Amino acid sequence: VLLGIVPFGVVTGVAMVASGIPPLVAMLMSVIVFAGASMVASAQLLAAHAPVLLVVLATLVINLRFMMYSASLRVHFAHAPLGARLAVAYLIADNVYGLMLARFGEHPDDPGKLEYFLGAGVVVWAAWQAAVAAGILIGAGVPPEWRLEFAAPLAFIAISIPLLRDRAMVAAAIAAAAAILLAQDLPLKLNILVAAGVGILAGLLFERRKS
Amino acid sequence: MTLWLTLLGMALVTFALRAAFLLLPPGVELPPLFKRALRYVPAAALTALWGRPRCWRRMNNCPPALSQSLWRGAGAPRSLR
Repeated sequence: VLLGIVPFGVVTGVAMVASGIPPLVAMLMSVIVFAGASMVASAQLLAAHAPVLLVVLATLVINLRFMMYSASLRVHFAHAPLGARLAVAYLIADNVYGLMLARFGEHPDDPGKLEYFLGAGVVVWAAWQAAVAAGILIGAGVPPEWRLEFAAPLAFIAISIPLLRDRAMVAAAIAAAAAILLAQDLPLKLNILVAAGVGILAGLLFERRKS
Repeated sequence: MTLWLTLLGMALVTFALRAAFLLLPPGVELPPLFKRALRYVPAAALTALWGRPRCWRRMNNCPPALSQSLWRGAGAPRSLR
């Protein structure tokens, strides 16, 4: 898991600084938000002078999957103390959720769930922050003429390709790619939200047709 | 100021999504269609972000060796499964 986190964290750090976010704010964002894809997206949108509301909406769309994880984790933590549930919520990430599912998905009554989740979450969190910090240092130390703007698209490609696990997922991605090209003249960068919506709809339609 | 507002908005939205079902009273469930739609959100939203022509123009600055490594690396998690 850590092997996957570190390169993406470094690229995220580089991408944020390359988009013009001051290093300290970039690090603060990493600690507070702790969600790589939305951090890279917001850096891109901020560099394109998108309005605050759109950046926040894009964050909402990209991170919607956390709601699904939260719903699924409730089975395990519904009766944990409030403080523990808040800590679990903060530490929810794709790989931590994956680890939890792999260990307790088929054995939800095994003991030690909270300790396992918090342990995995803290390790992933620490590795992520260290990787982002390294990326920020690298990005801040590089002269502007090196033009590191390509770091953000690279990061997106690296995250999204492994997601294309089945045909419905591929259909969603193709539809989103087509829609972003067709809707590129929409104002306020709304093309991103429109294209994401078209992609989701395409995935649902494909799934329905298949069943 | 814009940057701080953005940071605050992103933090609130992200934590609200993460905490939503862990803090709600038992019995509140997501509608099934919404649950299914959530599955496609990452693939659709991320493709929308990197599919933009502006993004591809930025890729022109990418050293060829690095982009080749990236495509190989992107395929790696699939082969590990």
